[in-house]
Amino acid sequence: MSKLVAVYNDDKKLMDAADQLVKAKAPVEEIITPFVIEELLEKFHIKSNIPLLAFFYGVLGVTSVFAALYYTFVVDYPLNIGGKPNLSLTFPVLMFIGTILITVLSTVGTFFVMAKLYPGKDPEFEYPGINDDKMVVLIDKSKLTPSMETKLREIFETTGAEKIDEV
Amino acid sequence: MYKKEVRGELILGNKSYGDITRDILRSQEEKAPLWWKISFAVFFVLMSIGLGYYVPLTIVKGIGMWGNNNQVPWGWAIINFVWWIGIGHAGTAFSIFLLVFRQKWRTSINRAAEAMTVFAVLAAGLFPAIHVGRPWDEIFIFPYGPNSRGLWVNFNSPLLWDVFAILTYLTTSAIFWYIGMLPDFATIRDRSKGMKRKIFNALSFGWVGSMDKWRKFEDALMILGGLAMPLVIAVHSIVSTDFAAGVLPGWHETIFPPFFVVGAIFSGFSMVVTLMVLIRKMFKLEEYVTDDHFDAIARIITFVSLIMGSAYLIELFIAWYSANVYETYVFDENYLKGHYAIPYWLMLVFNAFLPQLFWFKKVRRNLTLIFWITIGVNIGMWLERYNIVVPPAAEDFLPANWFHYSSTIVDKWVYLGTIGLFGVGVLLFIRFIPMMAMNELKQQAKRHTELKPTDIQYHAIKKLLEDE
Repeated sequence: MSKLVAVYNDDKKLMDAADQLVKAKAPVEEIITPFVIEELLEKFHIKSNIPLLAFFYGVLGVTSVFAALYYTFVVDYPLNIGGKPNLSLTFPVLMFIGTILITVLSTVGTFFVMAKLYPGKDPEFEYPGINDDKMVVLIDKSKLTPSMETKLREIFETTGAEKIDEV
Repeated sequence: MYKKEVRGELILGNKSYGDITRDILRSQEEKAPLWWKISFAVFFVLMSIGLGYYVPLTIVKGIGMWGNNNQVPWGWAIINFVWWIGIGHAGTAFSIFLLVFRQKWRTSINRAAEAMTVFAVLAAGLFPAIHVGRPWDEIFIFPYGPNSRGLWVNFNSPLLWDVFAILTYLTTSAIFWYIGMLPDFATIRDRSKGMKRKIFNALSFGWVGSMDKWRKFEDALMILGGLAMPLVIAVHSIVSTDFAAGVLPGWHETIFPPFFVVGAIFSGFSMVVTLMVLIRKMFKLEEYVTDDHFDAIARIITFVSLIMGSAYLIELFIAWYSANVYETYVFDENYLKGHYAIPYWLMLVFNAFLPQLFWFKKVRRNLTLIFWITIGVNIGMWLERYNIVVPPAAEDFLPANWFHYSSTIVDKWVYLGTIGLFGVGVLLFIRFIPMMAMNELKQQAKRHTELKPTDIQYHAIKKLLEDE
């Protein structure tokens, strides 16, 4: 797959380019940066479900830990303490810790699955400096008309791209 | 929010993104300096003797090798355990509290603080593991299988909560630390060749900083941070209930949970500062860990020290106000003027009085003084745990039972062994892992370029140009 690559070394220039790319409705495939640029994520409306899922993991955690404690103390080995079951007020301590543990592990698992990251995976895209000091805009050339390509090249040149390349 | 206009720049020297990468990776791309090799050798010897000889000796011969006795069943092991766990709170307190409160000045220090957490919690975890006497029976602590021994473990016991809390804390801290390093591992991967590239390729999980990945990365870190923050409070509150749920005067106090949490943050911050002073000096990172950073941490330490001082006063007041003869005895006869007056007064000096010097700006800007005051706090916090663990148990309700405690050579070497473990861990970390979060530093540098002139500056410049 042939890609048009615009390389920037300044995030301000990149943001200027992003503004114009959004206005021109360019088919931007990806923008890769060595650090997070929140304004960029907002501009391209990049969202994730991780916070919502984490909430559900929390609900799952608190109910499952409570269920486990209830099972051990009330169902499986019921103690009669002064006529009352051993359903202790100390439950919240372990429920709290257990909920956090379950939520943390599930959220991290979700992060790795959703971001498609795993040990030993080779990087999906490599270009000199993209994890160091270069920011690149990737455009899928197959989705470009000749006139659009000319327009995009013009945007990249006017916004001060260090290099315009094809890979 | 960190206001540069008020508190100064976070990264000095007008660094480019490439400069940041080179500066931070210098420590691992250049040959190990002599001081690193010597320190590593010293800590490695401590670790080998402590953990390689004295820990197995304890396991083979039993807890009788320690100074613990019938009257003082908890000695150095528990003191060291609580001390290390306290230091272990540095990473989370520092990194996560400041992340959640969006304090951007954390950036230069958070990675080292998180690394410290992991090694300190590992060191802490050793003590309960060997203190049980028969480590091979530790599986009984876990509620494994469906009621395999006819009984479940006691979920009401603070000692069991400890197991869950500390393992959860270790897991969460290690995950938080590791995920934060993914982009930096990718940076190293791209700069290396051969075996090093293969290793960092495996470690970086194929990271590429695409928009989608950054969004998920930021969200996952914030969620982990938000979850770990209450965990810090929970873990040390639980550690405190190991004592507070006991009936001994000096232990049975409702103030203990917040007192322990604040104490942990106090010792943790101090250890971070001690290490950062050394790291800054050794790696010449003055442009990243600026005087303003130390100033900010020193202010927090002063504030926390005041809380500690107040807690000591409250303990004394409540002992007097309770009019309980046993409680009064512990504080009045034992701590203030009795057998344990020296550690008690030293604790007050190191924890409550010395950090007050940070009220003076000159002290907050003097790295030598900062270094020694924070070393003092760490000694003071060890003494505080000593004062909690030993005196109330040594002289409790029945004078006929009183028996004093003195540690043995095995106690001391096991402690030195954990210091060795911590030192080796931290030294390996600063040698092989980027000791500062490069991607976050670059984000700060980005903010630097984003500074726009204020209206006043703009009009002043415009007027100047017009005049010319």
